[in-house]
Amino acid sequence: MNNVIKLIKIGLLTTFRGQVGKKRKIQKPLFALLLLVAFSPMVFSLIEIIRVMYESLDMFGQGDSIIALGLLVASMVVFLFGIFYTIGSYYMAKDIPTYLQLPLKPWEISISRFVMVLLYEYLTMLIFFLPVVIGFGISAGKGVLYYLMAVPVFLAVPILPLSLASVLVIAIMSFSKRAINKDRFTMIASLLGLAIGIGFNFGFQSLIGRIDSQTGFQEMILSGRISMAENIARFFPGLPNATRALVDNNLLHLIIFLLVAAAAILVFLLVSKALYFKGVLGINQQVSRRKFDVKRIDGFDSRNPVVTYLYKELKLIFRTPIYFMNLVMIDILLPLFMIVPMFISIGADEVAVIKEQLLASAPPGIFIAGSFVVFMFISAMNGITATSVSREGSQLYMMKYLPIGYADQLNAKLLSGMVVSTAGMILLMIVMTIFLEISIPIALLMLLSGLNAVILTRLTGMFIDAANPKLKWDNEQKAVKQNMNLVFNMLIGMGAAGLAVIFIIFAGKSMFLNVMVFIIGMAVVNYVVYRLLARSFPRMIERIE
Amino acid sequence: MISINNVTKTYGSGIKAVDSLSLEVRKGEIFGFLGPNGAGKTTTIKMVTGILPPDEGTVLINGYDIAKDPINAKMEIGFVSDDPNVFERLKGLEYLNFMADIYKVPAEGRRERILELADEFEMTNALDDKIQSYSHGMKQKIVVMGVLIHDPDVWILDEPLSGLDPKSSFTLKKIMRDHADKGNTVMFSTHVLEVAEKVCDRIAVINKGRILFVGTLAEMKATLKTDTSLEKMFLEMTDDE
Repeated sequence: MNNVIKLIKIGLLTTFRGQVGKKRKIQKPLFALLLLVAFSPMVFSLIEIIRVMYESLDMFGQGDSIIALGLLVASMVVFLFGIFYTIGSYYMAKDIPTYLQLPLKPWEISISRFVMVLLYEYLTMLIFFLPVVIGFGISAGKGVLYYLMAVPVFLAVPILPLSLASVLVIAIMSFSKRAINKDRFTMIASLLGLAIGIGFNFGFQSLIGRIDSQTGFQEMILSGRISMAENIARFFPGLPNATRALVDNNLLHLIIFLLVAAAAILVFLLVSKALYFKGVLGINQQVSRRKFDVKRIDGFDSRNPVVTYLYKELKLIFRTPIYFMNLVMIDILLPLFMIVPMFISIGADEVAVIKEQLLASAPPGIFIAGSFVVFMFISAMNGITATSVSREGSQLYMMKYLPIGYADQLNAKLLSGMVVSTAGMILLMIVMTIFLEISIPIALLMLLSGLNAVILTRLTGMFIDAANPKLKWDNEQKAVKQNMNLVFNMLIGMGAAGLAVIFIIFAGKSMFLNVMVFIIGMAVVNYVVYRLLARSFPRMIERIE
Repeated sequence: MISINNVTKTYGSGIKAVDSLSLEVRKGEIFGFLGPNGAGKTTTIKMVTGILPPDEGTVLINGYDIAKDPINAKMEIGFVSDDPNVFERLKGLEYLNFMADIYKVPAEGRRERILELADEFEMTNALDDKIQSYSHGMKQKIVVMGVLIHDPDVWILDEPLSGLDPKSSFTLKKIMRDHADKGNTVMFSTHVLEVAEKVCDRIAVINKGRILFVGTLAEMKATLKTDTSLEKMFLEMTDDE
């Protein structure tokens, strides 16, 4: 156990040291304040949304289901992030090989990593679960006991989904020894983990759906004979108990829930004891050299320098597992993974209802401006340009000595970000267009509007990163995940999305023309930002020593 | 030809890393840049290659000013840094083609050039592997090959021989000699005085940002009025400072 604590300590030190504010002490509290100010409106508005939802559900006597829903969403998010976090932390982190030569047991390393990922997941929980706890507590008029019960529940909720993600990842990665291309194997493993997890969940959902339709479940819920809360919560073991613990302040259910979490850790320990080292050793094994086939050379044509630079950028992003997961998957796959199962599982009837409601209440203008907001949100989450200079790391000097102008390098870097994000956007638009039967002209206008959002975040991200890149890192994770430029760009993106929302509200019902003006206006803004960036980029890069 | 004129670089702390340094590296010679750690060798090389802008002074590469006409100046240079960890997820072959594209090497003849270089450095079988899987020496070789593929007039190499096996070291020295003999310019920094003694036509000794000596080995011996090894002369010079 002593070793575990030491490992966690070292892990935390190497993760958080050298972050923002190392130079000036004042930066740290200021920065924390800035984050708090930036995120608190979001948390407050979430609490408000929870309260409104509670009131409308409470009319059917189903207000408790808010808690169940919150628990389910939090568990799902923890699971999804957990797949990426665990691969990064258990296998890809550069310090892992160092631990392998030390006299440590496999489970000691894996549990220390588990705890570190868990700490990250608690941050996620602050956004996804805390507003639910508070919103429900206020609406249902809960007392002190409720909040006391909420603390252990909060701490225990991520344990099961994270154990599930870890066990899946460790099981899949144990086959890494046979893989020739370790990077590709790792990326496929993360996809497989996601697919298995979501497939399992989806299968479970449809099973329950079938039972429900046979027993007239919906009627029973509407008549209040069966709790909708329990129905929602049973997707993850233990969640019904967590729901009861919070709703009824039931201590027995709390204990059962904690026992389930403990059992999850136990399973994780057993699996990691058996399989963790197998995967780690496999992934760190040198690849055997193949014989070179001279014909391979003929596959290369000479290319324009900007094009070859763009290819280089894309190759590095797609081949580095950490970059691929953080910069590509988040744009292309995550929205699909979340939205497609949702559309399928809620069934054709519900989709039809949603569609009708949307079309009745919202003129097409809202779709177009709304797509700006949605794609702003998705692309702001992606740091592909907000980490573009940072990712050069100690190799930044190459940008300076290669005989290719800074303007060309800027364009290639921006293009690499645009290619990935636009691909993700088009994919998502196709899915939405099919499911919601959006007309083609509207869909195209939505794309145009979304494209403006993507361009803007790509430009601002590049601006921020070129101004103050994080070049001192020893593992890729630090360049893309623990990089504050990403967070700053996210804040700008959210601000722009907020402005767009205000615009929608003020534009009123006859907004089609206004939306056109909005799209053109955004294009002008983008052009101006691009000109500014193109002008200052060379100076910013030259200044870096 | 490299002409460095009155170049000065001061870092944030106020210390002059390079102080009014002037130097001319001529065509047809191998020029060794010697100095203890922290003497200003790498800072000078960075200014010559356009990685660092000098605070004062100018650098001309074959007549192109690196500050005013950077692209043309850089096209003349082939640079081997002391850190060979370049684009680790590219394959060796992809890296060579990337460098060839950036330096606008025409498609014809490229294939033969790559195979020739790979053969010379015994890298043929590693061309299709990612640079990540290379040993330190192999990484060094692929970077050197990336420079040779565009056949620049001016070679600038920062500690090029460290980490190379004896055969590759021999090959590189031979290629440097051939290149200079064809009327081109080769400048490299090194700690290994034996190498400088054997390979260089002229040397410069730098310490604390200033040039202490420029000339041939014979001139150095004449100046110091001794007939000892370069090592002893070097230690004497840099100790006096």
